[in-house]
Amino acid sequence: MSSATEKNDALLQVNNVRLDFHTYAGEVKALDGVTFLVKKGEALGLVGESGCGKSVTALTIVGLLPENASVTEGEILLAGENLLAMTHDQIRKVRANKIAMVFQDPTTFLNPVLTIGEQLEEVFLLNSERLANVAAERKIEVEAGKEEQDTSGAAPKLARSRQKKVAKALSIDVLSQVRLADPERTLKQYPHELSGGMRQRCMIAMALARNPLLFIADEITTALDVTIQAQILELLRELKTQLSGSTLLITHDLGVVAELCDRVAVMYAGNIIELADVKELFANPLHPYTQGLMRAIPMIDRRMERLETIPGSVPDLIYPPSGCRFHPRCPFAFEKCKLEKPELLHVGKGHTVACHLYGEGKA
Amino acid sequence: MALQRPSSWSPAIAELKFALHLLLQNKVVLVGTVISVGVLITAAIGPIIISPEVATSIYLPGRLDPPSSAHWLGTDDYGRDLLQIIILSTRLDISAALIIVGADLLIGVLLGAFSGFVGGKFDEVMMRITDIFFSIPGLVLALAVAAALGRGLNNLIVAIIIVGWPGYTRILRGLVLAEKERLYVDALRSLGIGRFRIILRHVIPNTIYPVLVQSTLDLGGIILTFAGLSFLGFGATALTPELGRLITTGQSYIFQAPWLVAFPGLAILIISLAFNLMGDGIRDVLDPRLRR
Amino acid sequence: MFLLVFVLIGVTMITFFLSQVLLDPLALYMTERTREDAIPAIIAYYHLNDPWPIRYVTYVWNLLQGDWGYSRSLSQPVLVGMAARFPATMELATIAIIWTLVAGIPFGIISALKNNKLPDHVSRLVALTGVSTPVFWLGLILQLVFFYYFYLLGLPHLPSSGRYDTTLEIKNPVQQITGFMVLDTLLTGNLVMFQDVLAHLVLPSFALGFISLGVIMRIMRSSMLEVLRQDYIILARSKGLSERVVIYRHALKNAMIPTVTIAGLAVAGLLGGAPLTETVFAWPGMGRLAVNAIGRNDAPLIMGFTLIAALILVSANLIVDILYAYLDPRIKY
Repeated sequence: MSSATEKNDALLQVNNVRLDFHTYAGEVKALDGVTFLVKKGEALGLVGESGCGKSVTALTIVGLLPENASVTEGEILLAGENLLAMTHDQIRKVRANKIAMVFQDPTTFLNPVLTIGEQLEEVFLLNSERLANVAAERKIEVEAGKEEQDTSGAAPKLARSRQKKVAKALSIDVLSQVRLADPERTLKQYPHELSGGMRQRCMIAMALARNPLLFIADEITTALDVTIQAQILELLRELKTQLSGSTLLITHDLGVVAELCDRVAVMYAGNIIELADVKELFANPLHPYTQGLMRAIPMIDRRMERLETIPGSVPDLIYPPSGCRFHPRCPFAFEKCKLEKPELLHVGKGHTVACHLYGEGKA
Repeated sequence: MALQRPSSWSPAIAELKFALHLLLQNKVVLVGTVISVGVLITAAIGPIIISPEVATSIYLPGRLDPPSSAHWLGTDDYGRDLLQIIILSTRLDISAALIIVGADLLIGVLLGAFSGFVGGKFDEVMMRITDIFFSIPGLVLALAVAAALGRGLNNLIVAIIIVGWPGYTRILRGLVLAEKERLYVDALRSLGIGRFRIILRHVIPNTIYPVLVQSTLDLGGIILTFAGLSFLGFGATALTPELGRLITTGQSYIFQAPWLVAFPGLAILIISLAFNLMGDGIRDVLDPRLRR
Repeated sequence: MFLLVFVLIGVTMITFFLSQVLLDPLALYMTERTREDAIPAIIAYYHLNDPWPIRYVTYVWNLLQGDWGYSRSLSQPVLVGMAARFPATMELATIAIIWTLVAGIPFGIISALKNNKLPDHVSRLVALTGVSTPVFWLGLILQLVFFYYFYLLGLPHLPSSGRYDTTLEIKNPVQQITGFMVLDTLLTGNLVMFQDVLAHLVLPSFALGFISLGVIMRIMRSSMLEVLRQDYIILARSKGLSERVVIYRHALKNAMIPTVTIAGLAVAGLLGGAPLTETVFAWPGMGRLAVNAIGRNDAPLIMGFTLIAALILVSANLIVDILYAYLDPRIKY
């Protein structure tokens, strides 16, 4: 596979992003040269332990980092444009139209004093000029009335009062898309009146409302009960067939990855250490860390006496290990690992890995 | 390259750096603390440096003189040097405030601790009583109590004490409610140690910290209340040097001798401001650190 | 609801204790014209020699009927005297709290948004000065500057005392509708007096409100900072909403909740400051009445003032609770 074709397929390209957090305890080197890409129409899984930088990566893409964070290197290209170089207004437009993110905890991420309807309709009303278009796409009827006709042939702009009605109709439509029973009633309810699963569906609806090019799901099932998790995953599976955009699925659960993703990137301590197609990764994990992860999952079709753990603990990112950040815990570490940080190298079948065990691969 | 291993000291050093940063960042708080200490020292040594007889040495020919090189702040309507009188007054105002806060702390902490720890009917009754106290504005209640008790400095102090204790009771009760769930309490009980001893020797020392912080914040307000009621005529008599009282007499001469009103009031403001700044600073240094 | 009734009962217990136990119980109900031989009848009527519970119940029963005792300094029943001066105090307190909220809330928001920059430091200093200033001193200084010095300098000056200019009022009589002179003059089109009344309100309401200003500013600032840290603000930003919408639609409503609660405390502060402010500005309100009563040893008046102050505070907290329920949909009553 040539990189030229790859670049054409790519919707989102993250190139060598380095990020530091300035804290009183020191500089936390959270992202250490993160590189990966998301192709058009695919679902990429981003897995790793808590604290490895997955959520931070997502927040960097949409520009929602806290004040003490600074990107020291790298670029993030969305259809060619560098998100990291954008002005505040530009990135706002990207968030409104192109990238939608769903977060982990639907309890704290929904505003408790606004109704679901208010929080959903505002997404539609943000793009009031395009409302008519959006309505057409979803096959919602726009009532005939006084509309300003745009003679250039673009969609007619709707009057304000009409906008609210259309937004409401669109909200009902997207709530049924996420399989909420009785969407009209839900619009009038407050988040605390809904169950966790329902709230999560509402957040997903808010993302779908924008019909984004990239849908980022940051651990969206982690805060839910197992049964509800299954329901949400089912929903995502359905939506996957309906959606035309790409998905970046962040999770620490390899099971979720296996179910929903086309490709997987494994992250450790601020680095992408392995990237492959889903089946390939499960069949043939190359990086010692990935192998450790696989061994730690109880498998129903295998006899296991003990669950194996990866010895050691997550490194302190203020004083990270030199060379390969995994080397203190790696059973195969040798001299070079302490000295030099391994690059992501392609080892065939679309599988890349950053480990000195795998020497020069074919670029 | 050599590995940078974090030493086991670095977390502690980091905390210290953080605390220092906060303190230095807040130069204003530093100023407040310095002034507060200065005020306390003035209150303590004032009457030693300046003879208390100054308060009673009336010199009518020199009354109501404007500020001059002889009298930096002017003279009052008895001819006394205003600066000296103000310095003497700090003794009364500060010690009254400290007594009031101290008494309120004592009563509030004891009642609150027992209320929270023992629970049951006692706690219920205590909560209702504090509710009642909270529904009367502080100064109004102090006024009523002081009026009922009669004029006089001691009665005024008692009145303000009565108004203030419910606040600390509530705070401490809340803290004790949480504290009594902790394991060491059960351990002590199982050793057969009586409840009184547990409360006094263990629970209170562990929960008193936030209440102490709150009391430094309250000092400023108590000084204002005390001065306010003195202004209205409670408490000190005419010749006794007290800041509120000075303003009462000053009010009659406000247009021809404004310094008599301006400077004592300014003194109250500065003292209250200093205590508030210090209290704010203490609270700020403690709070976000705990949260982090 | 039940709690309110209970609390008010408790307040009556306090005033009962103060006026009947600590002071001469007879003084509450005697007028200057009471004859010696009428005293036994009074004692019997008010059950003043009976055991405590009966005395207390009689006391409360009489309160509810409007018999709050007699004020010898006013030569009037206490309740009548209080009621006559009630509008003056309420008008002053209302104007004070209005300006405190109108100034305090926006400044608190700005302070939070420009956290740790110059506007924030200035705001915090103002707030801190506010809570450290003795209200009576502030009133006097305001009089000195805006009445006396402005007059000396030939500038238009504000009046220093009273609610209105009495000589002016004779020529432009004010019709009493609500008792609130601002409203009454406006409703009857009496613009001359309207201006006069407003001019008289400026200094006292500023002094009274200045302390609460600090309290409101601080709570608004801290609750706004707290809210802006919340997760749902991240979600709102991730939707691409403009910063203005995030702040005023998502953050503000949440931040108002603690502020509204504290506003109830601010009312307590205003009621406490009323006696001081009214004294300094010779404002004909209940606070000044109570203060004068001190000098004249008129305890019934002081107790009456305490009861009314408690009533007002309790009502204000009730309003606060209702507002709270309105703002926060998680609360149900």
